[in-house]
Amino acid sequence: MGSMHPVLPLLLGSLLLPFLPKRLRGVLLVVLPLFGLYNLLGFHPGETATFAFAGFDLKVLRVDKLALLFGYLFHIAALICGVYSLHVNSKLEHLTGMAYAASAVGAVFAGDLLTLFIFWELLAVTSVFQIWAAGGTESRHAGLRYLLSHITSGLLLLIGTVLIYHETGSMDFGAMSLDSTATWLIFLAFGIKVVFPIAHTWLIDAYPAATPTGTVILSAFTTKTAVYCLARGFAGTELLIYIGAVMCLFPIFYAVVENDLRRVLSYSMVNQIGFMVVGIGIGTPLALNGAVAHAFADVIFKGLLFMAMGAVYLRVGTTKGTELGGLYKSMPWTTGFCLIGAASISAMPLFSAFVTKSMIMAGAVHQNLTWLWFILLFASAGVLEHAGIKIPYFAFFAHDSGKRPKEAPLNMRIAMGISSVLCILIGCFPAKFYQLLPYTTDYHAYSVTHVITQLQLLVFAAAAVFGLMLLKKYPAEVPSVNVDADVIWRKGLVGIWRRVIGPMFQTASNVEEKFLGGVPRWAAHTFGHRLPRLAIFNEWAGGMVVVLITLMLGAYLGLVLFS
Amino acid sequence: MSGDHGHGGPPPGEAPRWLDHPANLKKLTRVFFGFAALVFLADVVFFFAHKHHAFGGEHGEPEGLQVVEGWFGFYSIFGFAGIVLLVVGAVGLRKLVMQPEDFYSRDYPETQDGDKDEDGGAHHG
Repeated sequence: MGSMHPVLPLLLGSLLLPFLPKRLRGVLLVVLPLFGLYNLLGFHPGETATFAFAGFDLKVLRVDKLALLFGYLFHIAALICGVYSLHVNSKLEHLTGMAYAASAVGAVFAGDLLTLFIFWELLAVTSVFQIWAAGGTESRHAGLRYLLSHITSGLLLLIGTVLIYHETGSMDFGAMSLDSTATWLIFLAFGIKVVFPIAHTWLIDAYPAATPTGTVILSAFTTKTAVYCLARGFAGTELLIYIGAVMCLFPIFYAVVENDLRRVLSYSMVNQIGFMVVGIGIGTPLALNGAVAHAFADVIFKGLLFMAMGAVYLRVGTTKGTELGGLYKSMPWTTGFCLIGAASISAMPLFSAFVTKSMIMAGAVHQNLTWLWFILLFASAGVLEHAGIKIPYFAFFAHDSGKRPKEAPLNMRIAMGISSVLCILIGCFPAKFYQLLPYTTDYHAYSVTHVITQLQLLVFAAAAVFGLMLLKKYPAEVPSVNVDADVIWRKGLVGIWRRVIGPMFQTASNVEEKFLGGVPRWAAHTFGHRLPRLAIFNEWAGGMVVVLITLMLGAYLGLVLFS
Repeated sequence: MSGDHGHGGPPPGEAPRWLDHPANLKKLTRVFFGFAALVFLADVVFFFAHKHHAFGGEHGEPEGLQVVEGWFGFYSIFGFAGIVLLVVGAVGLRKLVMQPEDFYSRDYPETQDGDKDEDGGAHHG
């Protein structure tokens, strides 16, 4: 047995961070994930532990290969993110960043749904600060929308958990089937965080609104925790195949015409997670291995791409394709690391996704899902277009913007270097990596056929891109916003708020101003001090009230059902 | 930040780099498309050596999926056609969903204080 619960090194360490001077904080940012990883190596499949809390015996520890894989992954990601954000001055960002990583670790080792719920909510409240840290109204709004999505997810999980406890007397987190309200609620709760279509908009909206380091940190934990939960709870659920197929497809179209390159990467995330969801839906050992292997690889190469864009954002102040170009001249290292990330995500031979994504596709073939295989193949070509070519090209090459930003700071380069090495190691030595996967496999990625056919797919997809550019038929980068599903509530519901509910609050505000506000005003006048205006009913408080009411209703429901 | 607002061209006095010369770009393009032709022709190898599809294919006659894979040039053509389809689709999508940059932010006039990119990018790590 390891010396302490896997979540503790990162969690306790994060609480320590704000009290330390910057140098020591930096040391801990690197040492804690390493120590946590070392601690984790002492745990073996089959180990469990419980913790008595509020009359329950919470199964706070359940170790098996699936959980361990994600545990290793999150510690590696925490290390890379720590190195990447060494230069950041904010104690709050460091504290919440590491606590966020800890929450992900806690979630994947949770043996029951209530423990999962606690870490599920922690994931949300720690990560939102990476968005808010960017400052400005845009980020504040994006963070609030992010929180609403995630709190909704948490609420669905809580209600589902309560219902399951009522029905079965147990809250064990294991395989479930979609045959009751409870399991549907949990499925949807997972679905929000794993960016099912329509629910995906929080990711597209929030990730580009975070700080340069914040986006990298955000990308590593929430969605992959949700992938783990789907793999644990709903492996083999056929519906996931169709949902995943949709997730593979629609983002690649948006990615072609998005101007903000971090938004392109956000759509790319939905696409890659689509592959994982498909693999989980197929549910065979090969497909599941592929799904979680791809999740592992994705954190590394997606992180690498976000890190490159983060470096550009830090030095240039924007990641809009229209304002970039020619940056390879002054940021050669960042360019090189970005290209490695691009090769990895495109599943070029010798890079990580080549040995992971193909397992999912092989899984589709073995189940005779021909239509699915075509979709996945098409999606793979699409990934090369927006992540393999568009991002490095428009950021670092294309037309020379004239900008000559400094190269990324050393810590960022080291972080990108670590990720790059991992991408290549996984790609070149897959057998070692496969040993970490939950099921034993004799899958071989490197056959002559696979290498040649993959090269053909990628080279000719690239040829089409370059051909279209040469023919001037390739869509130009244009300063714009592309409307996605969230227009329904961002324009629709907001319109209702402004025209109906807002005026109601305004009336209440007027009442408050005249009568309640009168007392302090009289006091100020009499005693000669200025008192702040009571602003209970301004627009932001309104939003908070909605959030609070949602939480209260959820808590009430929980209490009623528990008793 | 560095230099002008970057709407074109290297700063004056900077020595041109290898990729700045149109002749080099042409050379690169030719090398790439030459490589692509070779990759396409790799399929010829499979006429002589059995195309062992990446997964399965040990039981004699391939059926369904594997047949398609066995067509000469399948992956090359699929990759090329896929991108063309993707771009056509994306241009169509753009017609439906593209809006000006202030589509959402104009609902909040109090935020039009230029606090977005310049502020968030320059100071924050």
